[in-house]
Amino acid sequence: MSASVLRFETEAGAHMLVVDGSRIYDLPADVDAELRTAMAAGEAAIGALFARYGLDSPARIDDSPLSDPPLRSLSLAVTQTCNLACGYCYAQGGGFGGPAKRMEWPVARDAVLRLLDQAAPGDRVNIAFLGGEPLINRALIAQTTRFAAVEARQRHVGVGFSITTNGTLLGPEDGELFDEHGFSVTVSLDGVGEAHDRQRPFRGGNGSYERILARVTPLLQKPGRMQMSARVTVTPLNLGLRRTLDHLIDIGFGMVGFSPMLSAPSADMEMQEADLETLLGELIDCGRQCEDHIAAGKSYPFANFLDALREIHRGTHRPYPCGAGAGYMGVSAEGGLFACHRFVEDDAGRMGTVADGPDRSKQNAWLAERHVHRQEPCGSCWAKYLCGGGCHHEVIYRGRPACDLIRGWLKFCLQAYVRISSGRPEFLTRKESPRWIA
Amino acid sequence: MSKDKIFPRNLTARAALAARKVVGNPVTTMMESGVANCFPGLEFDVRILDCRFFPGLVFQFIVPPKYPLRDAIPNQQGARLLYTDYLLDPMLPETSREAWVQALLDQYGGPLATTFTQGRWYLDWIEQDGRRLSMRDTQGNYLDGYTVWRFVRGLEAGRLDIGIERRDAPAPGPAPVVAVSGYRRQYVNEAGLFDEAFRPGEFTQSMCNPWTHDFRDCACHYWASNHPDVVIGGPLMPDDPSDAPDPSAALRLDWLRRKDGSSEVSAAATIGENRRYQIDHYEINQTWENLPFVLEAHEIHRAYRPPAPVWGAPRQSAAWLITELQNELAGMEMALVIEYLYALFSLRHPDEATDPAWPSLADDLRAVRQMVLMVAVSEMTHLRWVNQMLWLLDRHGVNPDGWHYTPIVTWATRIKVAHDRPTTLAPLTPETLDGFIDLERPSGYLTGVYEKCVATLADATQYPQAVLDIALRIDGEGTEHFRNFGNVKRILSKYPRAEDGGYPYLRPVVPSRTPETHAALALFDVLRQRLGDAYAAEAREDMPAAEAGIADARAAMMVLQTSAEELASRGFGIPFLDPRS
Repeated sequence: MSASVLRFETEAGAHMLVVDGSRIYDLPADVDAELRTAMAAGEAAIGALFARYGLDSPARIDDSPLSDPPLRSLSLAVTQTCNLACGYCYAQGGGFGGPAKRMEWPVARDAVLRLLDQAAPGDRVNIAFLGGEPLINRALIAQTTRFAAVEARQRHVGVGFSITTNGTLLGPEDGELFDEHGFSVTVSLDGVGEAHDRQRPFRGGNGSYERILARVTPLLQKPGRMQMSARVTVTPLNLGLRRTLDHLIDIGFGMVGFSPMLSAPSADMEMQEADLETLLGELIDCGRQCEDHIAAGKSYPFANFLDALREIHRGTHRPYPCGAGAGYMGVSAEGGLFACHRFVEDDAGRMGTVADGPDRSKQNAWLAERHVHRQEPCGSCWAKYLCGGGCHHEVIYRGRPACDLIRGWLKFCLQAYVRISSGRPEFLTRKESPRWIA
Repeated sequence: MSKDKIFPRNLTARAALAARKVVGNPVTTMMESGVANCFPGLEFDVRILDCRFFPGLVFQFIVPPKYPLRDAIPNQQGARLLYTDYLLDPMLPETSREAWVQALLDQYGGPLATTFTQGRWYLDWIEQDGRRLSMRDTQGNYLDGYTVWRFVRGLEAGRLDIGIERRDAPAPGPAPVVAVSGYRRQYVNEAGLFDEAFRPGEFTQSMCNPWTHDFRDCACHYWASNHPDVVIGGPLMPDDPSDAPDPSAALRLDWLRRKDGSSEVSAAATIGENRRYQIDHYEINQTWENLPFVLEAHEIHRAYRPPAPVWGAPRQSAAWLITELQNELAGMEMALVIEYLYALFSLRHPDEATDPAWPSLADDLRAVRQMVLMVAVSEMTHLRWVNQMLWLLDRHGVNPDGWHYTPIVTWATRIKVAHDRPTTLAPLTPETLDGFIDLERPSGYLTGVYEKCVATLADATQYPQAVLDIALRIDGEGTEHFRNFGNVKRILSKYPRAEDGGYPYLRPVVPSRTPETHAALALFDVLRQRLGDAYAAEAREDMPAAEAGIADARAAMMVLQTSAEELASRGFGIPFLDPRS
């Protein structure tokens, strides 16, 4: 494996991903032959080939970490408790290993002001409500949303809202609030009926699927300004992705995405090597389905695939996997700031408080430590700038068991991108783009 | 997907290629080349940054008047010292422990306090790092303000000595010169702000108020304007010129026209006639933001996206480079000169356009002939440049297989477009014009070869920068030719083919073999001979001989042009390509 280039093929011939800048080129046969020879000879030969064809340039990402980034997004753990008892929950029943808590108004208000105070007119910020199950603290969500909307308008700052919920408590009044403020609503659903219930039971042990469906359906039928997505956590127990995907799209979700469970408090819910291989096959099956729909000019909102296409088209190259600990932080019920929602109440990601602001020295140390150039074995991987090194939480608590999955998936997406950009180029460039390209 | 090119597929790959294509201003660009840089009026005059280049002193850069009054004071040009201004200069704090600061303060507060108030004092010399620049030429004449400013602009930060001379010396004998020693002022301080020595209003003192009044009136009848007088109607040309012609495409519209629909007609020929259709001073104050940007003579109303380049050119060997330049490109450029000139003379002279059925024909011919001539002249320049690249390579020691430079002033017998064809003399019919457009199309054969030359010459370890610069320039101009011919096509597209097969804009010219055309042909051969001699002289750095040869060639060209025009008006074309005995 080369750290600077990936060669891949489609029906149209050979292509390469130049890692620096995530650039994709089609190769004529003679250049392809040169590339294969150079790849066999090593990185120096590859560098010489790039120079010969004018593809070399100073590295777009160097070793210097991001420092003192402005805060752009906060997630509020408005409750640290939950009415479900999912076996794999990183928050361990919502309490993050501690007692149940609720966020009080002063903390939420301070968090909003902390975010807005350092935004300039014209900036855009995002506020996410998470838990536990956030709708247990419904009143605080409404109060915080309305407060933030008014404050942001006065400062000419754009604000977006999102919520991740288990869906069991969703009611019409929530729909009205979400509609009014254009919420992005993500419902956690792990499959159809039994498959979901096995992983996401109520605390008493009963399944939650029927209840969620009853609560969600009215909103799906009349989403208004809100955007409804489903997120499926994939464990060894629900690996039949295609059925789940088709079902959730059928019932009206505007976007459906899958996340493999790599790091859970209970090891039996974590994906093992064989499971990850199965998952890759399932993802590619769904991706092909999505590709067929795009070729036919139809919609098929499979988030993992559409997100990958967007990133590949843009040539996204980044030294971090996400904004955690940089422009994004999680706020605990008591007002602590953490690298993200997953690190709430975890000293590994503790970074100050809402009252005092981010602890810059801890934040900068985190950013220096988490830069992909500091990660192993990322240095030798062609996918490092598309992947960014993998979810910090999973890497810290489980390592990197899913690299082959990520590379396999990206390789498929690269091939699909070449096909789509040849056959349906307007899908990638159209102005009236689906939500994912915005 | 193109099978023979590296094709950049996603956005970063395309951006990386586009970035390599941006070559910026040519090496001959001067600071004052931009209207905005040095002409007072609409923009900040950058020369003001250097007026205070020396701590405590304020200069003005003066250009000699083009038409001086007979009794005007002589020698006013250069950098004139206006006054001393040291009390608030942040480089000269009274409390400074720097010896040079105290020395300057002593001078300014002491003897110089009155010296500079009498007479006309000018910067006479500058000394930095042991090198002294005089503000006079080799004959002792004072340099003009632009040249002096360029010297000052080029000074490095650091220690500096200057001499200031009184030009109206009160007594006979050597003029008094005051020497002062200090440091060159940097434009911005450590905080990144303009040095506080610059006074409020100083940077904007050259700007008109309100600037829009001047902007409205400042047009090409006055001087080289910073806004267009006329634009070509219709959108910027698409890549495919065979797209349906826009009905307004042939119109030349007044850029300042009032956009109420009444003036979407061809601009009239005089300022007075256009004036009543233009926006007025009070209107431009309110609507200047709506005036459209103009690119390639077309108004654009959205962000311009340059065409995506699609050629990843591999580096080639020196032998390939020489062969390509000598055996292919030089001859091709000459062949194009001939084809374009022949086509040019096939166009009627505007004075011949008397048919009342086509009232706009004379104006259109004026424009079209100019465009074709510009392309032909540009190809002549390219012929010279290809020769120059070859002699520079020879001089640099690039001599594969024992090759040495000899001038190339002959033409290629074949033109390598998509379909390789013989070099041909043809009038500018739509078919000929389409052929020209194809030939100059970006990513066609010609641009492709030049791009390969550029990629090869980019290897600075082997080739001199000057040769790369030339290749870049030729490469960049291809697109301009393509656009010019495209515009010619749009303008001429409204004139239909007549029943006899002719066009209203064409002369019935055919290659003819008469004593007069033979004489013209002989003149053309003499011209080429002179050109070859001049190139050979320049190659061996014999500049007097080179200049004499070029002057001879140019004189021959003037005669040839007159003769070709006269012959063509009678239907005789010069058989440029006939075999010579």
